[in-house]
Amino acid sequence: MPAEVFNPNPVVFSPTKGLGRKSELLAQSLWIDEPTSSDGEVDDVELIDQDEVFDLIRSIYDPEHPNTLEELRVVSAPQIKIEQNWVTVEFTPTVPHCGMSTLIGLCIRVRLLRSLPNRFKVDIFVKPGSHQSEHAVNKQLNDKERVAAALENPVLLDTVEQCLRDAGRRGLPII
Amino acid sequence: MYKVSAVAELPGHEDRAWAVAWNPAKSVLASCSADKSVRLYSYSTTTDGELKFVPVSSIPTGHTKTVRSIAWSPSGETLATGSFDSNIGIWEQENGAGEWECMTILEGHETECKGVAYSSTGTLLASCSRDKTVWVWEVHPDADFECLGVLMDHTQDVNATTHSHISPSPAQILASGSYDDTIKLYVDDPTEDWYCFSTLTGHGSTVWSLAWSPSGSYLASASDDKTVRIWKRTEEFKWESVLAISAHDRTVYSVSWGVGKPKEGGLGWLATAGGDGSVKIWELKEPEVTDVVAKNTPPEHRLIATLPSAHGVHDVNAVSWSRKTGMEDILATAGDDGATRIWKITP
Amino acid sequence: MAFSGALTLTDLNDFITPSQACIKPVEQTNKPEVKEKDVGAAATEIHIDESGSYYEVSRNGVTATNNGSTTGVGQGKKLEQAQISLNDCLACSGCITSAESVLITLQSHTEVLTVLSNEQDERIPIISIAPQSLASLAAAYSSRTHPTTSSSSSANGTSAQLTPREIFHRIREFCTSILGFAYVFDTNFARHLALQEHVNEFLERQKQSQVANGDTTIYPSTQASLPLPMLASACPGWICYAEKAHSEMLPFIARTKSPQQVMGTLVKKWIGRKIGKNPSEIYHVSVMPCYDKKLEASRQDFFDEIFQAREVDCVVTTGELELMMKELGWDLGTGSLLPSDTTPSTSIPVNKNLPRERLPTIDIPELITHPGTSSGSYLHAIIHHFISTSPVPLALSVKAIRNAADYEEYTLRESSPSDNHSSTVIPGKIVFKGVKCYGFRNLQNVVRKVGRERGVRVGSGAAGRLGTSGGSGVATATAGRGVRRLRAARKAQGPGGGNEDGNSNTAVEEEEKKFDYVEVMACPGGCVNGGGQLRPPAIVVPSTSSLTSGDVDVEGYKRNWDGEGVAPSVSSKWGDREWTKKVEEAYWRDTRLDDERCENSIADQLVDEIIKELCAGDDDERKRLFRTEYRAVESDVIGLAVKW
Repeated sequence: MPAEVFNPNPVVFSPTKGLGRKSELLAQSLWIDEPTSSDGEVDDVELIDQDEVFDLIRSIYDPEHPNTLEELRVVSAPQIKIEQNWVTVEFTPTVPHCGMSTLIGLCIRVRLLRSLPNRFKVDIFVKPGSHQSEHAVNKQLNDKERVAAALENPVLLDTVEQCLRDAGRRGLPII
Repeated sequence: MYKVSAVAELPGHEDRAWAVAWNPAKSVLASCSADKSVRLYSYSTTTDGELKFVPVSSIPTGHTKTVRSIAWSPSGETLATGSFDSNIGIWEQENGAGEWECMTILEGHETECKGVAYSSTGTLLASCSRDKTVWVWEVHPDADFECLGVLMDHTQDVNATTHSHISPSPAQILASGSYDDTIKLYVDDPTEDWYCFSTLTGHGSTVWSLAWSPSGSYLASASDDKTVRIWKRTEEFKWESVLAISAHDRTVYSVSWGVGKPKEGGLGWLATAGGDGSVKIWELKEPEVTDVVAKNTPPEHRLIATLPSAHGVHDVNAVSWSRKTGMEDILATAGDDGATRIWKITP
Repeated sequence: MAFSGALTLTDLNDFITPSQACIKPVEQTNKPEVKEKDVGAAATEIHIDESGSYYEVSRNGVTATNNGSTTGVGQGKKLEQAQISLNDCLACSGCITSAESVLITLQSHTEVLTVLSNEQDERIPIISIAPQSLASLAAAYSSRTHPTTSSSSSANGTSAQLTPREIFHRIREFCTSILGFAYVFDTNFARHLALQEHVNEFLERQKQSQVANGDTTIYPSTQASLPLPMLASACPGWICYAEKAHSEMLPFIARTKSPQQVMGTLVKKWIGRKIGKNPSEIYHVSVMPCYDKKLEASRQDFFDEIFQAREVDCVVTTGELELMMKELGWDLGTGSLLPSDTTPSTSIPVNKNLPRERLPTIDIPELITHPGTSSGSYLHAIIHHFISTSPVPLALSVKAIRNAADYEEYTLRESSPSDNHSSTVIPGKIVFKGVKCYGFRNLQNVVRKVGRERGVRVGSGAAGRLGTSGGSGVATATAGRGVRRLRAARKAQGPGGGNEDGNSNTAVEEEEKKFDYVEVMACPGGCVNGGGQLRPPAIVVPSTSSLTSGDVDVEGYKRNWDGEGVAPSVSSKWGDREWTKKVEEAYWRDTRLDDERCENSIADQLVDEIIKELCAGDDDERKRLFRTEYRAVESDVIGLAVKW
């Protein structure tokens, strides 16, 4: 079927070098499966800052391109805010009519759902003014019922998994 | 002020618990979950007056996805389950006591079924879905159902439906709340079909839950805009928003309206719960009628109890008052931790 | 992009509407050729010019070289605009829809005008008009002339009650003299043929099921034996819905083509032969009460591979036809052009110099009546066949459920009572049970009932599709058990197959007798209320009805219909129903029942001739020409396109 790629040729930036915070060891355990049980002891000690959250999502792939969200400047550390147990992630779609925005947002949400301790409430928004259906995208991404149902759709989940396949790299190149 | 004290914690679901429902006729409580099962607990009062809950059974349901909502028929014999697999299951016990069996499956919704609700007469079942529709089913003998109407008035997902419990008019009113931020009210036109007679606007975001007041003259709605609104019937077919309460710090997922411990002019107790993890209890009273001018004078409301972190760090998805006489101060909640908890409101 | 015709039916709640916004799956066709190392360099931007076209321009001014075509402004590559074609819609299961809200560009009245005014296009234009469209126009123009005639000049509005026949003649005049159509037909004759074929097919199925009656529960859905009940096939809304959401119903749906497609075959094959043209040399337009007919005409099954031609090239709705007439200054109320000063300044694209004289006259009986329903009388054709061929007299009883005309059960029983038991008169054996079922809600119940009776699992639709590993809804392992047991118990009480002597409780028998046939239409009220029909004229709302402002309603409540919110939705809802009644009435307005028999025998004769001419006694060829097939729309949805 003939199709439209929402942004056939996006601007790609080279990833920032900055890496090397303490939480390297978290990388694996976070990504694999740290079930909902571990809240309580460790988490209260664990300090999570915006760089940490950025590390978690920077290596998610764009659904349409072989690039990471970081390379496409869809996500960046300054666009992440943390206030106590409340994380706000803002992302910038590559084009204002990007039909993949909800999917990108979903990937970010799934990644954080799986890696952040569950005391965190996460809100995800597109950068104000960066998308023509900003309100609709935001609403969908922050409706937990929609998200829950989406993750029960095997085809969609598979696509999300594809985008997350190297998310554990946390900005590091593939070895 | 009142206190909310824990009565019981009923673990069991392996995943997020979405809803909880008290059987209107028997001492049974049901909860449903993303783990696709329904769990049933029976309760009794011990000699020293304490409530004890015992898990009695678990229905694996066979739904292929989350069981999002449950509803008991008024007789207490039948349980309806609404699932993300878009189907509705109708369950009864073998010979009224044995194993729970699926009597029929109601298909028709195209996408996730988000809510099911019986009418107070037990003759109708309503269901709603992300497909933007509300279906009205007529309950026939032998677990047979006939579709009476497909209401396509909403422009977005329909998150909740509820029938009026007590009908002050000959016509039962059906209410639905939606992702399109509105509430729609429907009646059965005696000569034609069910139709939407009113759209209530005011909420700034998704309407997640609805509850009629015990008297039937008010409707409460819970929304993603963090408020709870009270709608008042001012005419036969006119409902007005009379009160908006900033209730929670995050989405209000559930609202339940119980009779509470009624006082003079009492409208009962409203329980709300949400994404901020708290449960709040509000006392509502008819407005002091000083002059007879405005029909839309809001009821008086007072926050009488707050329970923070009802399910630890987790969201509270559902709150439900017991309908049983003598247990009007008992409340059940279901949360993202998969647990169902029972609470008592004490002075 | 918008529809040419005004959307209708917005207020009816019993109607299939799209449930999900249309999203076309996106596949990446032009994978970046650059290696990941140089990605940083491959920077392009999208520019939009004043006409709204998108251009891809590389940062350093060099055109991106992905696809070659460098036709754009400056140095940009023009990007193709995304388009959703009818075929995309047919192939997609993303939404279950009536075509109203599907973007249709190829099938519009502007497309018709474009083709007609194209000098290069030498196809012979032929137009076929559905009787329901005529009824809609008749109703609209009757009510339109009615209030105005008294004051306006058009005193020649002899009767305010225009008949479909008059309307047809006026449209024929418009289509030939203004638009340049070579032939103008109604589709009733095609329906006559379709009804015959429909009855034939029913009889074939009945025969097969009687043979297989040893086992009443198993109806293998092989080509060889198609099961009963047979479900009508004329409504494309229903066909689309069944293919997308109820594939288990497909074996039950009649294979006989709809009148539109039979007309297509007649025009392209039979008439084509008569005028010496092959299918690709004819431009066939049909006027239909329904947007979904556009989808039907676009089906692959109705595409002639050899001649690369469709049976129906373009479908316009009743509303679009009216629009065309208005745009070209044709007053249907009088059947003439409006005075030129009031005529819109449109250049009338009277077609090229057609060698009209050289085309032979094609004689097809005009507007044949088929008594029964205004949606085609499919059920009645079968009932009529039973009554006219039965060796014993048959009695027909009709049971309307919930006093709604949209759901009626028709039972035919032998009227000779077997009195060997006692003095009580026992109704005779039931020979046929059919149902008329209109509207989405009734359709749901019929689907459920048929599924239950015939032991097919209902609803492989959304549930089955989304479930993992083909898991279909509630697992039958746990769920089915209870259900089946219960059904079995109930079945045991009453006579099963319906072929036993009705010597027990006849009420039970009637209840238990399975449907043999269902006339299914997706629109409430049937085709006269199709989505492509005209809107009711501004005010036909109950003027004399009890509902005036501040009145007291039946329940004794004071209703203030002027109150905001309440009145609009209620009145428009009733207005639509009232209007549908008017169109229904107009549909039957000029039926000449006395002529009917004679008319039909002429038509029968012509049908025989045509079939002889086209098929030469070859039964398979007849089926190839007048039957079709259905297939479940599988949703191998691409993850990227999932609407959540």
